[in-house]
Amino acid sequence: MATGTASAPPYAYRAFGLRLRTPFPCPELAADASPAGAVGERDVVVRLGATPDALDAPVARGGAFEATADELLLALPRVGRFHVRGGRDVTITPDAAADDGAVRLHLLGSCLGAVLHQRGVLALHASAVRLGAAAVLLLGVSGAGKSTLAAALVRRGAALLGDDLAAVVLDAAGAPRVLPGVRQLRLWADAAEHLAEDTTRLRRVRAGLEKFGVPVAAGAESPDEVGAAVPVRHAFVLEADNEPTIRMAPLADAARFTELTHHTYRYRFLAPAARAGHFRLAARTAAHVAMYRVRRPRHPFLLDELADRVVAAVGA
Amino acid sequence: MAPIVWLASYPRSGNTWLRLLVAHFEHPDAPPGFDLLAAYPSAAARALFDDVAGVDSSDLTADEVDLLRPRVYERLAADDARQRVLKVHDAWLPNADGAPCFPAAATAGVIYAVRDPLDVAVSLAHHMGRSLDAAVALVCDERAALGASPRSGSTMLRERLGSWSTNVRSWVDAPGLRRCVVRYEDLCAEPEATVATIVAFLGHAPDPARVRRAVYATRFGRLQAMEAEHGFRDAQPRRTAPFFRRGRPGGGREALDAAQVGRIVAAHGETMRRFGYLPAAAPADADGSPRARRAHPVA
Repeated sequence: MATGTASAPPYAYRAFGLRLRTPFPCPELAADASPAGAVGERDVVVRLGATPDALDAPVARGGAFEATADELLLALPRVGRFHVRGGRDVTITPDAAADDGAVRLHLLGSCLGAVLHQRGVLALHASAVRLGAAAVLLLGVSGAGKSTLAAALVRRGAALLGDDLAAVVLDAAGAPRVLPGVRQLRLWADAAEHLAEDTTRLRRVRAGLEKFGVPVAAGAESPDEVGAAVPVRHAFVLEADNEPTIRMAPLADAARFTELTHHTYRYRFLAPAARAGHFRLAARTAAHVAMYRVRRPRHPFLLDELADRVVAAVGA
Repeated sequence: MAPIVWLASYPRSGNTWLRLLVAHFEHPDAPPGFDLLAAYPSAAARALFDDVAGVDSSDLTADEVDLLRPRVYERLAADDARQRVLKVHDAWLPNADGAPCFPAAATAGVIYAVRDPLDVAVSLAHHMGRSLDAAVALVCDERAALGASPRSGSTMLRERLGSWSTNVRSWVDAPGLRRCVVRYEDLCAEPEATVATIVAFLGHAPDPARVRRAVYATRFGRLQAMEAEHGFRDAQPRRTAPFFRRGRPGGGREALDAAQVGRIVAAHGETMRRFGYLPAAAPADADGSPRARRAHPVA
């Protein structure tokens, strides 16, 4: 007779090679159809409940969080508190006034990012698509245009692997692969309209923001392909400025490593003790990936030309 | 530990010029160009906030961001022992919890730049590519904000400006903050003396040769020439004039009509009097006639 086993939450989804079990529906995620069973190593269990006010001995701190090597506590006023432990357990205390979408945004963003860091996976602030047989990483700061560019590439036949948070692992041969994550594009109203998406028919990602979720079907992939990690061979670092043209230039070894570490997802979550392992993963990834810096004008976006040049660089 | 100095002002009041002056004083051997400004970023730069906060601020509403700003600036101050100068256009206002966005605990001091609101309105009109009436309305609008309702990704957080006089008074009268108030007009009339005061406030010995070099490196004609050659990243896409357009004071009364001057004086006369933009004794005179300017002691 099993003892001390808590019942698992009712909803199950897959992301980043993990099974995410949640107490509320997450329409952004692909359902996981595997048999329920007991909580295993690949499970991340999300519960609603009490969270501490502070961690005992944080080794990393930011304006909204504290962290140790295997714990993160994130406190977002008017949204809620999120406690992530051991890459496996997430407890959320939602604020009374919190919008469900807002809670899910931070669960699928910061919390999953913390889960990946705690599991020793390379987590990047990047969108990822599969073009042909290989994955392409689109790195950049918030506002650089990662999601918009990913949407344009999907229009050109790419499959979306994830938006804003990308996970990279090394395969048996030591080569980097991207794990499919949250396969929903989040686009601002202007970008959505530019891509001829009707925002009145899209779900707002959360109350209070003109940002919309554009679901991207897995399309022609077989069930095996849908969850499989995809080898990554190209990465583009996207920047926006006030120059009128698009400029693309390849990056050499040392610069590739620098860009990967600069675009670590929530870099400050990493405990000092975890940095060495993280840098090793970044270095191995940099060695296998052709990387380009792409600068685009802020106005106009020149999205079509940008997407065409990325496709050309990957195909070359 | 409180090493942040806020370089605060309503827009178009000389903030960029002051940052360049401080930058050239603190880095006298740097090559010419605007890249120095990267070391003196805006307190509303999204990348700075996101890095320190550990959250993507574009997944939060502007009000939620303001709830986090005090903690973010305190964390920024705690992490770095070096003094840091951050540009601010926000008024000094509380967030929805009643806590000041720019907390005293993180503050080493404030340098507040003030400029005649008549000149500010004209400069705003050119900078934003809008009419004088629109600029006058903005300067009088308590709810004025930059980046308030984004429909696209932006690199800046929302900045709540307040009206011109709210912006000025909120910083100049904020409790518990060490401050240095600089009139744009004094910077134009007596640049070396004004810069010496500012760098001393920042804790530097105001070496006269260094001050002179900083003033010379940022003289108006030089800034205009650099902008013409290299462009300027803070210039707005819809602007109808260069970022460094005219510089010298007094354009307001020449360009604004009597009604426009009257609207600004009606809304801001008390603060204008306090900083020497209206005579102390006589009632506000809206006939638009040019007036001789004298430096007034700062209230």
